[in-house]
Amino acid sequence: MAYERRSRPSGPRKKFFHRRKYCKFCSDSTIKIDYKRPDILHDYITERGKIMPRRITGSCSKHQRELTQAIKRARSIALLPFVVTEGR
Amino acid sequence: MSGLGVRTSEPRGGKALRRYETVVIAQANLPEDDMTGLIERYNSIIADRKGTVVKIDRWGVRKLAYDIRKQTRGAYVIYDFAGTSDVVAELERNLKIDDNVLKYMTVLTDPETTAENIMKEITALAKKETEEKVAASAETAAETPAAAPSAQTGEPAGSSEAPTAVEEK
Repeated sequence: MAYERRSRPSGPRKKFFHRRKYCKFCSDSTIKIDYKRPDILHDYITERGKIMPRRITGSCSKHQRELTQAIKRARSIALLPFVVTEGR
Repeated sequence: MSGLGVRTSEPRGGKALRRYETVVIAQANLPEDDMTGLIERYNSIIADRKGTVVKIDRWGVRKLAYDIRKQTRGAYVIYDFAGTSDVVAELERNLKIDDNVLKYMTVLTDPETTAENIMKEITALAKKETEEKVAASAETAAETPAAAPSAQTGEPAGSSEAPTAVEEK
């Protein structure tokens, strides 16, 4: 019995396949993070309007900082929403 | 006049020439004449305080991401200018009073710049504009592929101000 148990695959290691994340702005330097470009910033906020964390988008810390700054500025001039409520 | 009095009247940023960008959201339902009048008024406010306007960008009417003063749409105007911090103070004071302005935001794009750099940029912009006009007229006159490359080079520089800030340094 004990032997059988040991032969099972250990842990959920091969369950998921992770695509390697990369920073979009590092690999393509032509894209500039600008608060006046909500089309770019839209990829980095959730449906609710929250800023997406780095662990999900894969952007590097430098560009995440710039993104945060730009998103906050864009919100301030109504290019991006502060919150998106469900009933709208 | 005491030394202290002079000091308090001096702008917070000192005499440094700085580059700013102000986004103004005006009422969307303004008539065309009023809109141009409004743009011209703030242009002159910047000029009066010895600021130099590099570019005025009119985005036109856009849908707002959230309601401002119960308005769902707003007309966007972006001023790209250089000046000392008292220009900004005066501009924002006036924007705050204006009922036609829903919201505004000023962003510092370059904390240190020189008059020469700005003059250079203005002439470059003017040159590009005339080139674009020539290209556009050439396009309409004869639909040749020669006009296409000039339009491509004009596009990335016009869409974002960030590359110009890099060049200054």
